[in-house]
Amino acid sequence: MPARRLGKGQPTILLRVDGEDVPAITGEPVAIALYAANRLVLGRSVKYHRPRGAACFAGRCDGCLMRVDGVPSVRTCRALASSGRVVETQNVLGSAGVDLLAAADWFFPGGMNHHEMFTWARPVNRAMQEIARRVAGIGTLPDEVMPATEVERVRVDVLVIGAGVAGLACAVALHGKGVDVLVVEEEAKDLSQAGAPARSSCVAIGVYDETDGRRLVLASGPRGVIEIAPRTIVIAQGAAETAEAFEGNDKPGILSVEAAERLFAHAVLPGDKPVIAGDGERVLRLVELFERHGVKPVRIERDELLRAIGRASVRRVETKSGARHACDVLIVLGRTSACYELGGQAGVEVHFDSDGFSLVASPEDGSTRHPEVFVVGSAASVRGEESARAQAERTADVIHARRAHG
Amino acid sequence: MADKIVVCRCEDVTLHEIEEAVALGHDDLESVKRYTGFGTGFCQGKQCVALCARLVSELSGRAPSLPITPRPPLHPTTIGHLARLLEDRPEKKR
Repeated sequence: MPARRLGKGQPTILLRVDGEDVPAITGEPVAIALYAANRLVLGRSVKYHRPRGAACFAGRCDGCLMRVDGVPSVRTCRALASSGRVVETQNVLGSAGVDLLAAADWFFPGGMNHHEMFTWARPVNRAMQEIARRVAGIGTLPDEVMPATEVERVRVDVLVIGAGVAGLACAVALHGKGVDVLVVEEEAKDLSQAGAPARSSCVAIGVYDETDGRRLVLASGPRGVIEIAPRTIVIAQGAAETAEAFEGNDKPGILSVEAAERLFAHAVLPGDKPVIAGDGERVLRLVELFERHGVKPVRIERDELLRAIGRASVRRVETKSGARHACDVLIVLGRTSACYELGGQAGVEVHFDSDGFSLVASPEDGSTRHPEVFVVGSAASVRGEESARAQAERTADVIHARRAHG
Repeated sequence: MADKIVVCRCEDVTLHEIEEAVALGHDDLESVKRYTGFGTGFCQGKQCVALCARLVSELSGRAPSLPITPRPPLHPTTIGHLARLLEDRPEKKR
């Protein structure tokens, strides 16, 4: 079996997945448990019903969407395993492995152009739309109407969004200076010892202008939405790998480097015949992790990637120079781009370089063109933990100094 | 037969469709988004916007000045969580 658990921590509970028992560890993401059990194909895509599997394990893709306890389109990389959770494949006619609607993938080899397809006669267009509505889309309605939850309202001086190295350094420094600060973090991290008031599993979903000059940040947590009214916002959401273009790049079993790191962090070996595309320190660290468990990855240049082949999940990689490598997992170091969305909404300038987007902020003190919004760490293109921490602490100094001078 | 190069996984948008859009004169990111639908699916572009920006800049020779406009909610949120936002909302804050 390609993926396997690496000793520490063995499953003690069972998930019910499409009517079968799948072992899991309480509190780990459901998608990690499925991967460890070698269930790589978790669903099908919207139009062509191509197989889908977790690609990022970071809540940033469509790969792990499943129906969980009667709720459709749940990111199973964010749903935590507990005994007896019922997990179902969605978007499938047949099974996740053999989907009858996958014929659409063959029928439209180049893609579908909605602007021209079946538009030559109105009745044909109408009939095709009827069919498309039945075939396309993700998930079906939930089993039960979900209740409306209470909205919690919080007023705070400084809101730090993201509890990575930079976000925490800034928050801890502010807290130490007696500034009223709150950190929100989208992952289920334990932040009880963080050194500043913090909430995990709490993701910022938007920034709104208020009439009194304050901003309102909405954050979605496990029990509902929190409406936070900060005077100053510090954005520390980091940067993430992005998609790379090669044939079959969307197949299950193709992971970002971060996804592979996350599997190892949960003591799951991503595969025993890995191919890794890309260079640099992170790739070297990943190779070392594999080698520690007796697995020797095949390494190729990212630009050499031509195609990934495999009916359900990736089985072989072909390079532009004609090499073929059998594999059970393909790990691609994607070019990084800042998580710019919230910063852009908050009024920070967004800049494109050759790889992706970044938020324009001072590498010195995180200041931006908006006087009450700061950006720290890799979201502002500050690389390396030491530099990020130093910038975040100077940002805290600037915010504190402003308070001291009224 | 060559397999697809999928640039936007959530909406199944292919490289071929991006090329077609740029050839038709859609040479900025927002316009290519509106034509092909990339970045409008479940992840709202988190995976694909940077890739599409790189492709459009390669194909059109123009680097994008802006990404697509990010609109809330930036992450999937149930209607039940949003339903009571305007209820018993204080008229005006301090």
